[in-house]
Amino acid sequence: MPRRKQAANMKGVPRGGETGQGAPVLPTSDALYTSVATLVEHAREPLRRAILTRFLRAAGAAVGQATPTTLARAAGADSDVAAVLATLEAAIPEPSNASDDDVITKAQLRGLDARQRVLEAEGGTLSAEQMGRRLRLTRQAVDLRRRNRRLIGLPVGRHGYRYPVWQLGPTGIWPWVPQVIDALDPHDPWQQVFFLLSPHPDLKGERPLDAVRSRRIDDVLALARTYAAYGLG
Amino acid sequence: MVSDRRPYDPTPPIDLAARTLPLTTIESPAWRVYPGTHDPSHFNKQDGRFNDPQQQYGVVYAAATEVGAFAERLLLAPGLFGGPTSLAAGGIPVSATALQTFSLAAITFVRPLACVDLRTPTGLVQIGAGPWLITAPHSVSKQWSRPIFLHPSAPEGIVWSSRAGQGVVSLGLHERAKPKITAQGLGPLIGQRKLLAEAIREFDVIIVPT
Repeated sequence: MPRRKQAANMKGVPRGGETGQGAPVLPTSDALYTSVATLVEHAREPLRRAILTRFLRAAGAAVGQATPTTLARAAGADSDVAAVLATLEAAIPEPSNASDDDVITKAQLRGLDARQRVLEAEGGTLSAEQMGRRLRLTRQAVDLRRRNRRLIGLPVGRHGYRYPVWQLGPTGIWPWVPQVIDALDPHDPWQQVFFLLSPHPDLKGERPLDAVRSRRIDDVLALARTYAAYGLG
Repeated sequence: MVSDRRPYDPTPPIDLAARTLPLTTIESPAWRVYPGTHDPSHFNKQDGRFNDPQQQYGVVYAAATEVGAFAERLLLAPGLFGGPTSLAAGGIPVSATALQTFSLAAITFVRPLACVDLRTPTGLVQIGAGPWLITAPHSVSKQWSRPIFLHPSAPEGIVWSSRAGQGVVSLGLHERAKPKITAQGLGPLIGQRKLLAEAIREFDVIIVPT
């Protein structure tokens, strides 16, 4: 955003030299100044203003009570979102002292991090276009295979679907992929992937994904059917 | 009669029908987590720890507590997430979609059910097994279903300590108990806030947005 426009957006935000107390509080070159200017701009819309108010209230409380350890951990996060999550997560009391709602909120915050780690696991994921290029298919054909349960596509909100790259072998989609999807019905794609990537007690702690890679496909299909119909116990 | 059996013999003893089973009575309610579009009192003939390999009778699986039913039905083993900097480290993921797909049901009995009690080493030894039976692969434990079901005492189910841990007590109710069982669906898990919070506290569940 051009500096001139930023300044025009900063109505109501104290600037360095305007507080009447001498030294600048927030130089306009500061990244925080730019961020606050953006917030002020967003706050002109009532709905965004309402959400921003809640964001800032939560952020203020979390940053204010964060320990140096939490702050150092958050500052070292590899993305802005991860830094925010780490700070917010630390602000929620330990489960033994927290309310049920706080406990659930904390589990959902951790879920955002978990989701990202699953998307990055085992070589990561591809967009529908990227998957199409790898399979020599159109984006629509990839989508059709996902809907026909021939390929795992993980829904990621407004970004559509991400396709784990580990479904691909040297000649296309591994034949076991649709078999595993069918065996895990009625579980959704995310839970299917959690099953494949989690250690399984009946595989002596090995992951089903590793077992299918070592061609123990029937064993994994039997375990998948049992998990889907009964569970792990 | 057990002297000629090896310490670990995965097959049921040939004299099981002549042994006295460790019976106990189980009172309702029991709890079940099931796909919300299905029948909450479905007697599964295929997949489960104590199903009949010949699939001639079904078993409905439940747990003594709501959180036990959740753990038995949905939880995977921990270990997917590691690393000291990960918020998710050590947690067991459950997708938010699964919490909408699966529902909770309360199972009630018209009178207490007579079940084979495998919660203690004594009970397990009494039938010729050991603690390994409740952690063994299902291909092993299923072999015990039919001899127990066909026992002259006609048990209505089996009760054991789940390998999910945390004191979860599992129930496998035989189809012969069907006339005495009523199941009432209580709605999707996402609406069971107390149950979810308890599962998170006890099993370090992580709810993954989908």
